[in-house]
Amino acid sequence: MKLKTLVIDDSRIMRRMVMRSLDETSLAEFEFNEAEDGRDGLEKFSAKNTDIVFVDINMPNMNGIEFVRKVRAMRKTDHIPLIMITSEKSLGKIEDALDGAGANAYICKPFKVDELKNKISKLVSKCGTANKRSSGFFSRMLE
Amino acid sequence: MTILEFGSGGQLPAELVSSVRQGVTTTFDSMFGDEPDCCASEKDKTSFYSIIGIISFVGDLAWSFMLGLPRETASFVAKDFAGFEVNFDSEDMGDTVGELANIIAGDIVARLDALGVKAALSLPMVVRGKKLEMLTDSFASTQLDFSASYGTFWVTIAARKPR
Repeated sequence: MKLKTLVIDDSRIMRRMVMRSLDETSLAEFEFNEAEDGRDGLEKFSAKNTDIVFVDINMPNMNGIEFVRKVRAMRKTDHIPLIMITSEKSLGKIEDALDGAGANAYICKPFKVDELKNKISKLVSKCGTANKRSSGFFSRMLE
Repeated sequence: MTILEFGSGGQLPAELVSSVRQGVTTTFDSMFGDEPDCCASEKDKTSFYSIIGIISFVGDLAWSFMLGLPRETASFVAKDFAGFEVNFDSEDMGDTVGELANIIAGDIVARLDALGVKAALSLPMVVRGKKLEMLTDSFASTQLDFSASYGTFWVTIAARKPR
């Protein structure tokens, strides 16, 4: 079964790069859906079942932190892994994204495929065993 | 209160210039596998047909950072970054240079943050052309030239002078 993956970034090149890198991790077979900002992402997230989201921070209309807050406020989807991929490296932004908004992981651009793979693997082992509700992404990755 | 102080002759704060220089060299080294050499600019770059990514910053200081790439350098780094050939005149080239400027800006902000300087960055803006000149009457500015195996490029830093 394919993992329904939403990639949100205002840069088309960056979205393509993230999708290509995810394919290169060989962790799963990904089915991609793209959005160009947080607002677009929220519509696509709500319209389709999504297993995992990769989201940038600095975007027009709705930024990534706001997107994560809104998804985390939805009770039915608060278990879905949300991973920030961003050029913002300052500690304050990382804390805002992880502790403040509720993202599961934070990856700084530029990143290497191995780094992406390691973060996802750690996320799977950390959250997959702890969160029994995550019947989608995590349990499939743990199989 | 910021530790950034302009020189007595109105020069840009040394910590700002140093953070930008380090942000640029580290990012290019990490992305393209060769740390560029940096020197103070000697030549006017406005005669080159080039593509320029611009990011503005607000916080303890109002300033901007411009990354200028001539056609050859832009074509090389865009191909390496995107993983496929990117036409210089395409929208993808603008997207790539904007993203590259954004990544460098993120690194600079983290360096400034470590020095206790607050800076929030804007979305990138990209311009392409020749004879592009920044109007900096009320700004102090400096240009740094970089050279690496993938070509030459430059960075302009401009900050609003204190009143």
